[in-house]
Amino acid sequence: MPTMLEVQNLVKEFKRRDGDIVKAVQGVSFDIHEGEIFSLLGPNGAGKTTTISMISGLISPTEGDASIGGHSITKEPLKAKALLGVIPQEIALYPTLTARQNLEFFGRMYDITGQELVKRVDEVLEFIDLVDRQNDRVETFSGGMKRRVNIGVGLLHRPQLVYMDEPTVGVDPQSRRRILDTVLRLRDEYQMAVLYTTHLMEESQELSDRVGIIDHGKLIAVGSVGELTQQVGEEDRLVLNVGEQIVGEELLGRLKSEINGISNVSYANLAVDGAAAQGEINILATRGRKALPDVITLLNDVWIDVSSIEVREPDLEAVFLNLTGHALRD
Amino acid sequence: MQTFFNVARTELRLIFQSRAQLVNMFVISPILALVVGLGTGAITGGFSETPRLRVDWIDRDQSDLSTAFAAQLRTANSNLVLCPIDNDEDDVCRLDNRDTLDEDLARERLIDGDSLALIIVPDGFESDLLDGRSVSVTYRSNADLTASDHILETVQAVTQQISGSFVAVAVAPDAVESAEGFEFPDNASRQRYQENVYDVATELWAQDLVQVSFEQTIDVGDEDSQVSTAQIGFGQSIPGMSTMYVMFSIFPAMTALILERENWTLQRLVMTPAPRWHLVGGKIAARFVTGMIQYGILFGVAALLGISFGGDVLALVLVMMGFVFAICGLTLALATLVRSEGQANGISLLLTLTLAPLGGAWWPLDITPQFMQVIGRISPVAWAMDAFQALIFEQGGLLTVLPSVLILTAIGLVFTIIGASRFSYE
Repeated sequence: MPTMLEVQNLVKEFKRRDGDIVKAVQGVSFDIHEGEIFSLLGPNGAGKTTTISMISGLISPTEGDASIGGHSITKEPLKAKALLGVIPQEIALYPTLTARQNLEFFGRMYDITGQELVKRVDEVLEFIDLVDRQNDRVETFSGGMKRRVNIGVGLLHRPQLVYMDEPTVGVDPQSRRRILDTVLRLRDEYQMAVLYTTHLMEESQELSDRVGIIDHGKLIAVGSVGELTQQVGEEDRLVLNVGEQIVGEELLGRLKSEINGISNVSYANLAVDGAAAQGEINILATRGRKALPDVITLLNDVWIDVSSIEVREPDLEAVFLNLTGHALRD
Repeated sequence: MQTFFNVARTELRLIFQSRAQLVNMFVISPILALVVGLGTGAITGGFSETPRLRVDWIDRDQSDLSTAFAAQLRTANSNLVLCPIDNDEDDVCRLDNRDTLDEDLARERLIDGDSLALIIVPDGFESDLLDGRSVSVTYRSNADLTASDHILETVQAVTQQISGSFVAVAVAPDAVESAEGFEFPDNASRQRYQENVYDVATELWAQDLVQVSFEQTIDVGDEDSQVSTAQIGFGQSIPGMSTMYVMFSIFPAMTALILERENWTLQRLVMTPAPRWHLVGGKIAARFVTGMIQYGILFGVAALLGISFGGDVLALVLVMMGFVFAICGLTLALATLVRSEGQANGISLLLTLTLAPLGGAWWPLDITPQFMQVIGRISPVAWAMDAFQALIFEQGGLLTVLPSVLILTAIGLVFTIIGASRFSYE
């Protein structure tokens, strides 16, 4: 299949106010083929948004290049952008304009005019199932409907490559399901290449033909879900919920060294915005179920109560843990 | 360029979707300009009536000559009202239906301020003058002796005319008789000749053979005092208020750009295949059009009221364009400095309410101290107001306002270059 996106050694450095150089993206390379969904998976701050900002021409790379449909983003930016559909994480719409007016406005930005514009807008409104609300102002829409218009704007010019930046952030489960189905339709019905960024392993696992795992600005693994999970072999992942109890490095070290079969241990606090701690211990272990009694015994010895235990088959979370030494949601 | 016009057109749609913007442009700004215009006109003599100078007149001679004296006073100063002879139905003389006036009452009226002066024509005024004797006309006033007294000056001018006429009457017969071979046959002929000389002399005085051309700094016109005084007030308020409201229309572009960046519509536009200058250029162009519309509304309202803005429409439009361009450039440059919606709103308000009075949009810079006139030149408003006043009050043309237009354009260019080079889309 033809290559729609080719990313070559992209580097982005920012200069901080104190003069220090921060390397947000460090030599990222990958490619995406026609009719392929490629997920860029990584925790917040891993460099996903910076990478796609360079690909979409919002910021210039410090080094490296990328080409969309054979057009370099640094040398032929306008031609490259014409092939790219942008669906940002934010609802990048004019709230006081109607859904139709928003679509028409962005359509004209891609030089679509006249009857062709009317036809494309009608098609997109049907695709996002908003024909009956097309003349209502976007500000009157629900969050899910706004997301659909946001997606529609990115598809209006029939791009060959669509980038979607965490499109399910902050949406209800029903809308989320609808968005994921839309992504699959873009590939299956329209043969579009999709660059999908997410920090949610489940989405990446469900949608992707291939996944790129990114952490601290580096692409640390690329492959299909099957290929990546093979990297962790037959290891199970034990997920132990310890509630508000904080687990230190010393205990994590004891778990790894004192119990046979454990290759990696990490602790993550899933609490957000100052809420009470929600501790989770992630353990990679061969024959995890057999190691479980020893794990519980050791935790009891140090007065750590475990409120729930889950044994998971190898997944992308386990891959990430195996590659980085910390959990995806850490 | 299609993307440029697409951005500009949509930005205009967004601007004019705002009810607050529409009310400000089409309702509040004209009302404010009209109110300020009326106020300014009243301060400068505007809509108040032509001043009436009440002067009490006691004619003890009741002769043709004393009547002619009164008539000459009225001719010399059309604002004079000689009381009681010029009193009208509205009792302009404030005489409370009295038809006559004695000296005691006249003195009382002087003290009370009901009249500004008292003129007493003595008995024997005409006969004494005809006999070549000097007469004394009494003039009383409470006016400040150190200040110019227009009424006294009028009385003096008229008495000089009368004196001059009688000098001519006195010397003319002798001059004629001194010519060789001429002699009046009798006294009656001599008297008729003297009367003719008096008439001719008086007529010549009335014609003001030598005139001083008096011009007011502000042209108040001479046909319709209402229009001319409106011209004074609105000649200041329309350019002033419209210039201020142009700033109110354009500076909010700072806020709009920040919101676009926050909502990510600006970034989304950058990711479209449109040159970057089309994006911000289109948005600023929309503000330029908004500014010109604001000018058009207020100057249009004024034109409907019959206010004249000089004869050079091209020069007027160029001044407007120069100022709007300067403010658009300043807005773009400031948009690179502000970091939040609150900052942008604060700076917009602060700048408008500082630059407008500093540059003479609220009152003419000429009435401010010299140092304020110098400081005011830092405001683009001052250059625009200078140009507007040259067109409106001094009948200036394109060449007169060209320096102001060039300075405004230069201000706009400098700020546009700074803004365009520093603007961040991220």
